Amino acid sequence: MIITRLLAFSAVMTVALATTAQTPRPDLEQLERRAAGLIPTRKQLRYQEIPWVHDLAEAMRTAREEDRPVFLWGYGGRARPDNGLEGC
Amino acid sequence: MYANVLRAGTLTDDRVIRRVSSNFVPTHFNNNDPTRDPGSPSALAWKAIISQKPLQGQGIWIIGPDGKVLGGMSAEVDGHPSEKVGAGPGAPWRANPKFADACVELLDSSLTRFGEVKPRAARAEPLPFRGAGVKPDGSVRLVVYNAADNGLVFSAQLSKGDWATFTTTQWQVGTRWTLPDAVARQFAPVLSPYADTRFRPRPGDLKSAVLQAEVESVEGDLARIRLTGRWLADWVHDGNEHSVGTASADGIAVFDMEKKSLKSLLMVFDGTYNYAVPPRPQTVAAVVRWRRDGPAE
Repeated sequence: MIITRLLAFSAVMTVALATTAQTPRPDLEQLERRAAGLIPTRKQLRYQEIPWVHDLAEAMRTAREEDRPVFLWGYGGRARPDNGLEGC
Repeated sequence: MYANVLRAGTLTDDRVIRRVSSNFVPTHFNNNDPTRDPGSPSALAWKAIISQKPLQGQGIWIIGPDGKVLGGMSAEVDGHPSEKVGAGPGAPWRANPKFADACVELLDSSLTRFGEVKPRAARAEPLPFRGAGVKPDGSVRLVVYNAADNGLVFSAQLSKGDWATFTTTQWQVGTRWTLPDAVARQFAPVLSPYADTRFRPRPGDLKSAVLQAEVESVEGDLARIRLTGRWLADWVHDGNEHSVGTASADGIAVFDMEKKSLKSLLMVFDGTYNYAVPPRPQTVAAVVRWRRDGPAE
């Protein structure tokens, strides 16, 4: 078990060292180009197009003011202060 | 992982987005947030809702303005089950399109039960200060993007004191400094390619974190600060689960000499993430960015 863990650790460190090997530093424009290719698509993030109210009590107040129902997405289970829009 | 199945499937479904946005007041609630006051108005509202329809605490509820639950569904109870691809924790999940169909049905039937409502014109707003601006208390909320796991966007928070360590008073080209360990550790969650936060290391889960800065150029009122960093997470979480993540980052922050404040920051992270034994390495590539001016994202 210990040997297997050591092998796993050395494997990731090898990749890390290879990644940080002496390569020319990217300038800002190069970094921006690289970053653009790593951002999720608009389609993947469409859940952000919903006009979320980030507080349940505030949403209930708004529902009373506007006389309309609340759509509630409930989640949890990790005992962490997660915001479901950012991961959970 | 169920939250990600909903986020990546049902909540990105055009039919659901249109119905929810124009007819309902959409909200979300973490039912297991240890920082929440159990006596807060939201916690009490939640208690009243699940006492009417528990749904194992996860799912979708439709609630009338009087607090009465009009309907609800969960993948585990009376909705349609999500489908898992692969095996073991950390395996990717995919959303079941039937779950979106069931949600549309729930929205329509609940609205029929409630009665007609005027179309709503509320606009979606980004999370406050995410990726832009400085909060009134001087802290900032960097935005993190990763295209993995159906697309991730989340925050890395830095206090006013943390943020100050990204700058120097010595603006000669070549001036170098190492940011405090506690600041470097704030980037811990960036090491994970998963939406499931049990695979996201927290600052204390890191074995090491190094973030260094160097004044690379000064042109007019703008100074460019080169940022380089290395992180290693190796931790046991959620009982006996073991993850190892490593990353390096290259970035540039721009300092406005006239306004004496940072103008922008961009960092690109590359690394690997391994869940458990035997190693199952996954490449990680993420972006962290922030700008002083402009809207949140």
